[in-house]
Amino acid sequence: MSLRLADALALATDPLTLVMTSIGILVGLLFGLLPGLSGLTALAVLLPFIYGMEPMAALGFLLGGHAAVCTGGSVTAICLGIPGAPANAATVRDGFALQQHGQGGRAVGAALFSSALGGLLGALVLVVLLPWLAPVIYAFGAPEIFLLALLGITWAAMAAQGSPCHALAAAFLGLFLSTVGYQRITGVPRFWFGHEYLLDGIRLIPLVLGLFAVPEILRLACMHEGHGRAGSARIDGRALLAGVRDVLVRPLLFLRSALIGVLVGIVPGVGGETAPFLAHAAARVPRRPEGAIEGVIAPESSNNAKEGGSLVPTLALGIPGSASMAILIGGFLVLGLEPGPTFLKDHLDIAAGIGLLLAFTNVAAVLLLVPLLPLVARFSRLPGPLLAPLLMTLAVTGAYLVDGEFVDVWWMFAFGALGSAMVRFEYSRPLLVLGFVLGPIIETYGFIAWQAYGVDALLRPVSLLLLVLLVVGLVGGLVARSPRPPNAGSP
Amino acid sequence: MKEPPGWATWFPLLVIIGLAVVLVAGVLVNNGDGRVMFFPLVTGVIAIGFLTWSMRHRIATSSSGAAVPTLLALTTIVPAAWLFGLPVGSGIFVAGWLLAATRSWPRALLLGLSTSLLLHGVFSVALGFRLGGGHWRELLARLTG
Repeated sequence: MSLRLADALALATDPLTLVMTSIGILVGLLFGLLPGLSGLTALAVLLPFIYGMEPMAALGFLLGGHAAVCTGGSVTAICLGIPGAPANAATVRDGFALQQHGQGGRAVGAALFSSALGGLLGALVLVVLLPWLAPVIYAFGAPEIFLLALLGITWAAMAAQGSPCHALAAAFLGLFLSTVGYQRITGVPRFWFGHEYLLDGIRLIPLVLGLFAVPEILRLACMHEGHGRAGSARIDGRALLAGVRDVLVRPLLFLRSALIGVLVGIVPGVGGETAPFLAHAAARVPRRPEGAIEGVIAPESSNNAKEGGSLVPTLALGIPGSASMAILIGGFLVLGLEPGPTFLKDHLDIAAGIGLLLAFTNVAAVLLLVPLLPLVARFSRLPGPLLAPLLMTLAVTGAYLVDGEFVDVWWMFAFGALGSAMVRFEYSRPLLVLGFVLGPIIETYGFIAWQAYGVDALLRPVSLLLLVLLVVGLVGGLVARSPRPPNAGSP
Repeated sequence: MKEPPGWATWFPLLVIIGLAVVLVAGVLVNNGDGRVMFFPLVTGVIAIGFLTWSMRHRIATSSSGAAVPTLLALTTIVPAAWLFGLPVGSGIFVAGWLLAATRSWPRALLLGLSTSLLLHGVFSVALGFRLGGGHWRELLARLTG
């Protein structure tokens, strides 16, 4: 198994692939510019449209849609003070303060340039790391993959916002839902209760659309006005270049933040919104009323870089680096590809091509966004009730396209009700999806490990290490986040 | 005075009851086959455990009375699409929704019509792809060289 970069390059630069990636990027930018719609929602809406596409074109379409969201979201965060995507939340404090003090163009320039550079670094790490990872991955047997998947879900639950108990409940609900339908090993159907539809299990697309798209559409429909809370920034070429210069004169800040993004992304299951906040904290940004440009560069460098990191466990082990990657794995399965060690062995060119597409996406997103900047503020203020029915139509179409049957639309609405309740009562939806995607991996590899090794499966050196990490993560997370008892002396 | 349970309690409780019923029924249907039922039993029971535990933490939630009727209104797309087909039904749904929201006939008709046309296009492309090698794929390939 060797990587021929020329093959990967040929795959990534295929005209159809580039066209589909560019369409995905435009959709991703649109979702990024609309506050509150995350990369997860973008992936959920795009996923049903990849049926029958060429694998690279389809993956570029999804990856473009997902990776461009953070780039678009940074502009909304700076111009309107509202994060376009959850990963842009760390940018708001300094970005919006800079905008209010007439430095919006400079902040946008710094955000876009550091996003593009961060994304390039993440993609570079992915392309360089994949061939080197292969021998390590082959040392992983069924027990290790089983424990790594379990580790991913546990760490993700511990890193989720809110109560870890709520997060674990959502994750295990996802694991349970994945058991509906034929079991992979014995072929025995479970929990289908005479409904043939359920024999093949719950479909990922109605689940994802219901959990992520429907509650967001509902929220948009309930809004009475636009999102903006302040005037738009004047953005001209000179101000953008000043922002670019800000990044260039702070290479260490950029490098440290981007590497934090990559490393956080590599940890299975975590990824997501954690990286920008960690990078912001590591940058020790001074709190100034007029804002600090470092507070824009640090989070923006990391949130695009984390995508490259998240793709490492996703492609190499089939274990999603983040909730978005869980949906991306769904995309792989739709295309008949199964990420993991075998995928890396058989399709290293596709894996490296994905890395190159990620690099292309990060640069192209910025290039496509710059000419649109004058329209951004107006676009971001589109009233929610106007967008809701259009997005709902897209969601229903997406669900219907799964099998061309209306039953998927009903399932989407059922999961929409569940998703809305989860939002309201603060149960993590990404963790439910993570559990749903990891369920078959955990069950299958757990079964194989038990049959082949029995209890010894847990006593292999790597297994023991993973087991220790799992217990430390679980106990550490629960202890660190348990409510502190009030001081005895306090009134 | 003890507060009556709110939806923050009822929601996990309903999920627990549903999960428990499905779990028991599934075990009965599969005659308690350990190889098949072990994983769902473990995950289901742990999920029930965490849900029960999470009910201890009451969450202060603000009421949003508009949410339920809006959700119901948004689901009207289903009968509309069922009766008239997805592209036309969606167009009617979008037009109706916008008419109610904006009271502007021209805007509602224009957007409704464009949604229908757009969906016809999307369906043709998507179904063309799905049916494997339809004319759209050929056309796209030609366009992209």
